[in-house]
Amino acid sequence: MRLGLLVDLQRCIGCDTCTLACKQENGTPKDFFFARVLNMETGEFPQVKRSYLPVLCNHCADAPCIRACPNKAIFKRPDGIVLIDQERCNGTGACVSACPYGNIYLKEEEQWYFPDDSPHEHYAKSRLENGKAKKCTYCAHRLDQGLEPACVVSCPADARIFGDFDNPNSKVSQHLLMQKEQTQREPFLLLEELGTDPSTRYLKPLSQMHSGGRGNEE
Amino acid sequence: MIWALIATLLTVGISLYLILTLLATLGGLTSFPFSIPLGTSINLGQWAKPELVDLGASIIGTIVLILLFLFFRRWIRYSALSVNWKYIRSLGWRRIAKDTWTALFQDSLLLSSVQKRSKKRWFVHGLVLYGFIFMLLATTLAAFFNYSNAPHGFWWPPRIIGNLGGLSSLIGLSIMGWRLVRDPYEDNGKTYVADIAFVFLLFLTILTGFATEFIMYGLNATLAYGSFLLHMLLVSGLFLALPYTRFNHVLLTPFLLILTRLNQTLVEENNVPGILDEPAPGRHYKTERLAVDCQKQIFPKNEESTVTLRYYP
Repeated sequence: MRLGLLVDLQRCIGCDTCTLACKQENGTPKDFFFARVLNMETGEFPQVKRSYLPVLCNHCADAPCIRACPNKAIFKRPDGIVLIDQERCNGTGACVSACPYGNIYLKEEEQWYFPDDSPHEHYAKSRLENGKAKKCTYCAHRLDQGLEPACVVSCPADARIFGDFDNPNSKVSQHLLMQKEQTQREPFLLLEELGTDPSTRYLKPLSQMHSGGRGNEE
Repeated sequence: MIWALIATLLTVGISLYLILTLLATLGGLTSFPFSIPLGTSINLGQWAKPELVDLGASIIGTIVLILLFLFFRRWIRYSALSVNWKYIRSLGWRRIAKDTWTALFQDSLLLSSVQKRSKKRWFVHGLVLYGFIFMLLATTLAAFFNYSNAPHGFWWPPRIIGNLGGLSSLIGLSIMGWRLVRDPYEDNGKTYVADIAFVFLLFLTILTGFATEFIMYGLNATLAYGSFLLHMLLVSGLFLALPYTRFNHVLLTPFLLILTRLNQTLVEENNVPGILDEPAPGRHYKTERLAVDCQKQIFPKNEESTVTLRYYP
């Protein structure tokens, strides 16, 4: 079993709903964003392109953070999800530098936005401990209840597809198959050359495949 | 379970025997059962010619250095040091040296983060770490002051340092071995075999070291030589396997902690334009690398174009 997330960049509109849904679901401290969207510009006027890249923990098959943690606080579940045990974490900070994607957060003194928690924040914060390393869990607590990750459910463009990459009948495998047949798109990985084998994969925007992008038109 | 039990029994046995031997020697007892005269030891120099030891150490050392180079090349790529360096350099050498020293001394050698959370865990780790440092110190001192491997008595200072270090590590490793077997959380799904390999290898190395140490006191010269050879092979194996066993954390953790500290300082000193606070030290340059990689993937024809990060949370 290999749970993972497929992001269809053709569908992503860069609205940051995933970012907010994640913050609400996980009650993360100020400046902590487990799911974020990079807003990028490529080229120079008049040949400029705007693109969005949603990034989150990649739950790598060969996760450097697991190897780097001297306290054995990071582990991989049988379904492929990489988690940081908040009780075992000592806040050493080795995983922060080990993660090639910059998706592990650690701050000695964490702050929240408001002095008083809302009831939901109070509930969500109980999963996190002050001064410990934190990252996206693919909403493991939701998956254990048979629900999908908050960012997936909230995406208004259905750009995020979650499921088991090893199961050919899963939603994500079916989507990949359909895209391969209809649009000839194959998923790509971020920083593939590092060999970490991420579980978060991406499908290129269609416009770039067929016309080389509108910005390339003479 | 059985291995952990044997390990603990052996450690306790060796410790008790050492204490009793020392007490017997100090008390002037000569009829102590299984007692070994702690006078001058066998001269291993006739077998372990210093020139041959030097040659072997040089060959093994070179191989270890090559393996370490390959190991660190991978981690330098993971941590994006090549992209990070232009930011780190802006801190100036004084600040870099200060942060490096803090990461090496306070965070790594004194294990400040472990000490804050669990004194017990810190103590057990300290037994192994400081014991290992004592053994390294003893070997270095012996190499300088006893190049020809001349026989020395039990009370020769480098020997005392080495034995104390060995004993300390042996006790710590026994507790660690026990925990590796008993604590289900120790299996993180990735490094468990490497952890066991390191504890087992170091344990055997120290054990054969002690065996050599005692056999050398005139019991059996051939046996002493065999034990010494086995000890040397295990020491070589320990270092040759360094990149593949948990032993690698003695170099990897300090390296990563230096980077984490430097990146924290970068943001604290406002050396990264547009970023006032950064809860994931180093995220800014790693995000830059992601943006460039993404551009290569989705705009392969525009690989040379500049990519600008307009905004990210």
